[in-house]
Amino acid sequence: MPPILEIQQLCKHYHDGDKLIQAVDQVSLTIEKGEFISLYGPSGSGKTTLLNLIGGLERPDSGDILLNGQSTPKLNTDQLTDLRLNKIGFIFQSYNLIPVFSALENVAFIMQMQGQDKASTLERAREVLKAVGLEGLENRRPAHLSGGQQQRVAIARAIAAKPSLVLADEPTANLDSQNSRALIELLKQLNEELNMTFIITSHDPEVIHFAPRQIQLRDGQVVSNDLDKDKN
Amino acid sequence: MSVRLSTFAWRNLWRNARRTLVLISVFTLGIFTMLLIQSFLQGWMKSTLETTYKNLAEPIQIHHPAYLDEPEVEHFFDFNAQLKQQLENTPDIQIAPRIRVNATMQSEYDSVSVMIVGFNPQAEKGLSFLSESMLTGDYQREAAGLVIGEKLAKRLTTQLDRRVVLMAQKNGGGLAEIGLPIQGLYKHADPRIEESLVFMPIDTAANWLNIKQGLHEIGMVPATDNKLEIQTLSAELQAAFPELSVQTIWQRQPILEATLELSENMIWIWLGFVLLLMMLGMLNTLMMSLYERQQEFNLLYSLGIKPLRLRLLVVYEVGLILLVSTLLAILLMLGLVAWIGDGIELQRFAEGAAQFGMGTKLYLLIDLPKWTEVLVATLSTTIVFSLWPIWRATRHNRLQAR
Ligand SMILES: Nc1ncnc2c1ncn2[C@@H]1O[C@H](COP(=O)(O)OP(=O)(O)OP(=O)(O)O)[C@@H](O)[C@H]1O
Ligand SMILES: [Mg+2]
Repeated sequence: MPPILEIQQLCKHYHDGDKLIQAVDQVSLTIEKGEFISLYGPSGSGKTTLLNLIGGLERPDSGDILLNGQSTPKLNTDQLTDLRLNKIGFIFQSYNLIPVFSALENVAFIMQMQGQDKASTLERAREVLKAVGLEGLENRRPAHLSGGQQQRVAIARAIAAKPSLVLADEPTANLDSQNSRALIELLKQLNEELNMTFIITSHDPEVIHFAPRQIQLRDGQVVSNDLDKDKN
Repeated sequence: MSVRLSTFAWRNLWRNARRTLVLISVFTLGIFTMLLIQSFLQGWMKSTLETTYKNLAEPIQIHHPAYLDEPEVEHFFDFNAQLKQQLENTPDIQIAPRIRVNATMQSEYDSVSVMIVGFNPQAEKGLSFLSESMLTGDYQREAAGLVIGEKLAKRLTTQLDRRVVLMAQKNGGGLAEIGLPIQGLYKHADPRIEESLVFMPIDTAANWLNIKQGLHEIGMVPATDNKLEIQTLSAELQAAFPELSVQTIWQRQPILEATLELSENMIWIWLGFVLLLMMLGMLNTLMMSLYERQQEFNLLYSLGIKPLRLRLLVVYEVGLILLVSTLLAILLMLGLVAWIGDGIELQRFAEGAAQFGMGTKLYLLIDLPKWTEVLVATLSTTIVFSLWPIWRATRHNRLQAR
């Protein structure tokens, strides 16, 4: 079996006026199925850019990304969009949910867009909302959920269709430490139960060290890539 | 419960209810205005045609082939049994036989040239304006006498029951004179008609002018007002009687037709103007709303919703607004039509309008094909115009920048 994700010599630059910013610089990584990885580094070190490249929201200048052995930079934009819909779960820091949909509908909508039939979609949405601890809140709209609850809905949506890879960009940044802790524990639990692969960026040391494998970026380059000795 | 794109679109509309209501008002008002303009025009055209018909210019008329160019007394035709038979066998028509010649009318004070119409009161009823325009006296009296316009009576300084003398060329040569009493006065919105048309019983006219069974004109009004059917009927009659001239109003008065056609085309300038205003209002609001929802589009795109789907979503929303507005506009129109009812007589403008041969009644005609034209034009223009901002807001490169 190929690794779930293989990144080779990946580069991405931006222009800021006359200045050239090397946001991702010669990054090579291999990630196996079922890993739980934290990605950290100072602001501007390229974490979001790297996640966006993996998710096909940005295109690399050079290098390759192999998802389940398939090279994604060669796909066209529509194919990349389909890839996100079916193979990748995204969780963002904020504005994760569609305001006019209830928690249940937020989860079910994406599954329906995947072409799943209605009845099984709703059943599955209930199931995952229960798994993330939101039983009883299915019919609330995002405005009537706390920040932590909203992030749980986002997690439920990300895992509902059993993607190969879940990418979470600072999912706990807007949460207090207690909620943050609970959320990261939930992610870890799902990782273990479902053998789903997670890459999570964060500035929060507690979150970073919670992950068995931690990857540090600086100026777009990988500066450390360790399995946490304290933990394992 | 399901979460389809249509559910999403519908809920999005009520996210900013005020804006949606503004859009619905703009479209309702715009569509209503366009329907109103179109219905008014159609009503006016119909009224103009009906007015024209009533002024002794029926949809179909039969003449001696030379009569229309030279309205001489000799250019009459025989109302023979064969023609009578044919007309009697044509269903759903009303006909009026007439004798029409130029004459001089003389009172003790003045003399004026007039147009004599020898008519059959029974046949004329409901066809010409006369039955609705009598001021005093009775046009249905069998006795030999005249019905003239009030203005003509004034000009000749004469009045009801006074006698006047008529002088005209008679058939076979020579002048014929006849003295007759005035037994009725009529009024007409068009002063030129009121001052020139003089009616007398058809038998009196035939005797006076020495043309026996001859006629100068048969006016014919079919029950249908469908142009094509009228033209077909006219052509059939013409084929059956090649020695006569059977012509429709459009053949006899090409300028009338051109005027009506021009009005129909001109109306699109107005409709285009209303449409343009609507589009400006719509685009402004739509762009604002798309701009505010950029974050949501980005989210959906990041989650794997293709731009095509996003576009469909917004088109759906615009479509829903259009649907609601169209229904409201149609309801408003139907309400207005019901309220106006049979039409409003434009007394004040009647004389001016009549001089140009226009109808003098304001009414709204529900002309379904024309309404459909307006609606199709509005709906397609709106969708086409909204596509550009929608496309812009949901381009890949815009969605990528998160
Ligand atoms: N669309 C863009 N245009 C120009 N420069 C960009 C763009 N996106 C990112 N950058 C630049 O690339 C570098 C990496 O940005 P990135 O967002 O990946 O950092 P990050 O590690 O996620 O930071 P943070 O912790 O603040 O979220 C930064 O210097 C940023 O300014
Ligand atoms: Mg970032």
